[in-house]
Parts: sequence; C-alpha cells; structure tokens
Amino acid sequence: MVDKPAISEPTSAAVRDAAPAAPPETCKPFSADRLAFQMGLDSTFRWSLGILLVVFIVAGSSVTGGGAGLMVLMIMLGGGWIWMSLGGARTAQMLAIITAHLEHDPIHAESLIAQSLRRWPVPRSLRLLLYHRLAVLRHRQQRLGECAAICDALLNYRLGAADPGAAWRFGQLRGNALAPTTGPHGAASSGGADAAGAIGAGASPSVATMGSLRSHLLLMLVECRLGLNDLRAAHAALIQLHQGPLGLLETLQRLGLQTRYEIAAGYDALALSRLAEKLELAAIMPAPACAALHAMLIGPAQRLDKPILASWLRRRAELLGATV
Amino acid sequence: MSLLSPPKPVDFTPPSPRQVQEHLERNPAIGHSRAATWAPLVALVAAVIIAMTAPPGPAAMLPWLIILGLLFYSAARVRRARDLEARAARIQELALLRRHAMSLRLAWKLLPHVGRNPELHMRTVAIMALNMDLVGAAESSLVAYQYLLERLPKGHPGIVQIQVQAALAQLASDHLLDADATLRRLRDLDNAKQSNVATATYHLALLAQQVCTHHDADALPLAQGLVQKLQPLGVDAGYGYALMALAHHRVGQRQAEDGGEIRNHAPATAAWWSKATLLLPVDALTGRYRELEVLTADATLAGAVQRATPPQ
Repeated sequence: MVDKPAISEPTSAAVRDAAPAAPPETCKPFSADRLAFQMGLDSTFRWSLGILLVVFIVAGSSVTGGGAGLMVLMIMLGGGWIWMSLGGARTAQMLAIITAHLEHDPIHAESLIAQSLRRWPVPRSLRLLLYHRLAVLRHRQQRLGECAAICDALLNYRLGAADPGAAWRFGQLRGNALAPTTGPHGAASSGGADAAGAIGAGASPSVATMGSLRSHLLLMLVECRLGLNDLRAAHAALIQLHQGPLGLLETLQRLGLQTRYEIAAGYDALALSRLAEKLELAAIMPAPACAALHAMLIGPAQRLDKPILASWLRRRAELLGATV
Repeated sequence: MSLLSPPKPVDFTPPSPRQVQEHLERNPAIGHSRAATWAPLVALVAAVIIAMTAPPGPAAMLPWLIILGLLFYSAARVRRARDLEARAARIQELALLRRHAMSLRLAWKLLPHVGRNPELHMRTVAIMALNMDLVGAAESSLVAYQYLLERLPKGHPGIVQIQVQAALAQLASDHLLDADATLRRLRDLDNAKQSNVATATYHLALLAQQVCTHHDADALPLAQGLVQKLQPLGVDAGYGYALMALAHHRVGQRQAEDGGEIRNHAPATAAWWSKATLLLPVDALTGRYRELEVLTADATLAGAVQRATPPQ
C-alpha cells in the first residue's frame, strides 16, 4: 500500500511565495499637461538652486568672516546640488538600461521608464530622453496615436543636441531605411559603415553621432501619422524634416517616408521623379528597406503606364527579398 | 557620378602595410587621462576651501574665477568631443557613399586625435581597414583588421563581422591559407538560424574562396539557396551572383576544353550574370573582382546583361 502524502495547510510564507508576482508597472497614458507640469517642477527646482547660488555669492562677498547664515545657505546649496546630481546619475544609468531593454524586453523597459518618470528632480535633458524612449517603445508596440502625441509634445521643447546618437540607435523605423551595418563592399545595403557600425552601435550615448533627437522624433512622427492615415500631419512633419540639416541615415529614412507619403497621397509622378538618384540612395539602405522601397514604387509605375519600369522594379524587389 | 560605380581615381596612394603598422603604433588608444578626469573635482574642492577661508576682498573673487575657468574648460572638452564625433560620422558617411579614398584619408588624419576615446579609436581603425580593402590595399587592411581583432574584447558584437571581412581581404591579397583558417573558425555561421549581414558576408567569402582558388566545381553546390543567403547584403549580393556566374562559366569552359560535354553551363552562367548586373553595374563588378572581365568579354553573355539603373 502506498502512503498518501500528507497534505498540510500551507504556511503564510508559502502562500506569499506562491502568489503571482506583481504585474510589471506600466506607464500611464501620455498627457502633454503632465509632461509640462513635470518640466515646470524640474525647472523650478533648478532656478531655485540658481537663485540660492546668487544669494550665496552676494552674501559671501558682503558678510565679514562667514557667519552661521552663510554656512546654512552653503549647506543647503551643496545638499540640493548633491541630491540633484545623484538623482540625475541614477536616471542616466536607468536610461542606459532602458535603451538596452527596448528591443528585447519591452515590458521591463516600460516598467523602468514608469519608475524613472516618477523621480524628481530629473535634469531637463534626461526627462526629455525618458519621454523619447517612451515614444520609441510605443512606436515599436504600434501604439501609433500615443507615439505621435509624445513626439508632438516633445517637439515643442528646445531639444538641442540632447541625444546625438538617437538616429543611429533607434533608427529602426518599421519598414523603413535604417542604420546601415557592415558589409563586404563598402557601401550599399550591406553597409559601408562596416564593422565600424558594429563597433559604434550600442555604445555610450555619445557614440555614433548621426542626427539629433529632434530629427528622430520627426521621423517617428511622420511614420505614425502615415500609419494613422493622417496625411496632412505627416506632410507638416515632413516639411519640418526638410528644414534642418540631416545626417545620411536620416536622409535615407526621410526618403523612405516621403515616398510612402507621396504614394499614399496619390502623387505617383512625384514618387517616381529623380528615380535613379533615389535608388542609388536606396542601395545604401539595409536590404529589407531597399527591397521595400523598390516594391513600393511598382504601384506608381503601373498606374503611370510604365510597364518596363514596373517589371524592372519588380525583378529587383524580388531579388532583394521583397514579397511583391 | 553614380554611387554604385567606382569613383574617379584621385591623386591617392594607399598606405603600405608598414605605414599602417607605424601609424597604429604611433597613435594607440590610451584611454581617458586620470588627471584630466580628477582635475575639475580637485579645482572645485580647492574653490570651496578658498571660499570658506579667504578673507573678504580681492581674494574672495578667486573661487569664482576658478569656477568660471572650470566652466570654460568643460565647455571646450564637450565641444572637442562633439567635433571628433562629427568627424567620425562624416568619415563613416563617406564610406557608405563609396568615397573610400576620401574616407580613408580623413580617418588617417583623425586617428591621432581619438586616442583618448578608445571606442572612437577602434571605430576609426575599423573604417580605415574597410577603406583600405576597398581601394585595393588589402595587405594594409589586414594589418588594421589584426589590430582590431587583438584588441576588441571577447564576445564583442563586431568581431564576427571583422573576421569575415578579414577573410575577404586575405583572399584578395592571396593569403589563401590564412583565409581558409579564418573561414574555418567561422563555421558556426553555417548553422546560424537567422540570416544577417555577417552570415551573408560569410557565405560570400566562402564563394569567393572557391572562385579565387579556382575550385569552381566546388563553388557550384553553393548555388543552392544562394539568393536567400546573400539577400541581407542588398545590392551587394550582386558580387556573389557574379562570382557564381564566373564559376559556371569556368566549369563550362573547362569541360569544353576537356572535350567531355557533361552539362551545358551557359544558361546558368547567363542567369547568374543577369541577376548580378540587375543589382550592380558591370564596372562596379569588374572593379572589385577583375576575374569577372572574362564575362564581359564573352559576347554570348551580352544579352544577359541587365540594367542596374532604372529604364526611362
């Protein structure tokens, strides 16, 4: 006879251990007002520190022999400075981890973004970068409306060169031109950036400078607007993209998006204009983007009754791996 | 000028292997200076001490002068770092645009300035290596590839790509045994589940190895799935298709010379040549692999040549 295993009441600790882990934290739906409030709070703290510094300078040069008041001011200033620096350093570390997780573990990345956004005070540029990462995440999750709202809101702030490596690290717009990697023959889709690309990619934020945060936000915005079939807004963002200088990678991305826009808006002739030049640039794109651009142009060629060109584009697209 | 055609020759002599070796030895990656890192902090502490102890009067201005100096110093450092990054980015863009001679020249000049930034240093050497390979200085590029392989940390994502490119450079410079050893080390890429640029370059290198060593018959089985394998290379896959056309052409010729007509290789030659020329202009193909000139000289293949530029 086989003894039945004794079944005992589970201990409270066992119940606690067996309980399902708390669901990962998610970010609240984006609100431009909340962003403005957070930025205002951060900036108030920064200005307060600045004013304290001025007071310290004035007091330091007028009070003879220091004094208790001066010492208190100095301690407050030092404490505030250290608090802000430590918070900033922690957020900067978190930002690097978020960036690393965006591709492979978006749930964890979102949880980290939510935690980081709750911090206060956060340096202005870091808060903008956190929201930029949130936009990238939403873009990858195909939550295009929210991504577009974040991009729109961030573009209202002075971005400067907050994150010069953005286009390089986050260039992977869906079905679009992106960061060329390495290749055997120097250029073309396989890249010419060669192993240099591999060495540069994913390194520190200051690495691989191509483009700016602003351009990357605009590129994401155009793609989201196109995905939402909001051609008017896509056009407005494209115009902004044409107003500033762009790096090569961003130019390639803009080319893909602009062609998509032109086709969606029915400007077939425009999509096929300067075709040789466009396809030369396409040759620098990664293979899927290059193939997609060829495939995209088949429709306009057919509609404009250019069967030879359509057939040529189709053969190239197929050879490059596009499903036509 | 077409991006895909080789650029017009400029007044440029690629560096010799010895020159590359000396340049790399003279300009190593030395990392960040500890003194430069700590100096601002030390100055700041000194400023605070002076502020706390100095009597009122002109001496009280000294801490603020120190802080002002620190601000200027930091701004200058940031500006310099950005300038170097911008130069490196420009060099990479030139390489992408196939302006290899210009890119190499600028990378050569940049190298002495990036020693304090090891990542940028390695990136500059990598771009130099690639450019040297593509301006016909494969021997010199091998020196740079070796330099990178010796210094990059184990498991670095760029190592595989550098090894594959080094194998191509070894083939181009007739270091056939070395190339064979390098490709053997990369055999794992045969079983790679996902095709990417590194695996595609590896398959191209395998094909180039067979063709360069005149084992053309051994190259023919590589045709199976070749299009899919080389697709991550984009239009550069054309080089692989051209090499496959050459292999078929040579095998066909050899069989004809031997008198034994086993299989007609002309259709396969034409089909691969057609694919190659659809993606890349003939001058780009022959510019990279001079062996391909036999295909351009073959009148029977004239009909197979496609346009790599869009028809009007």
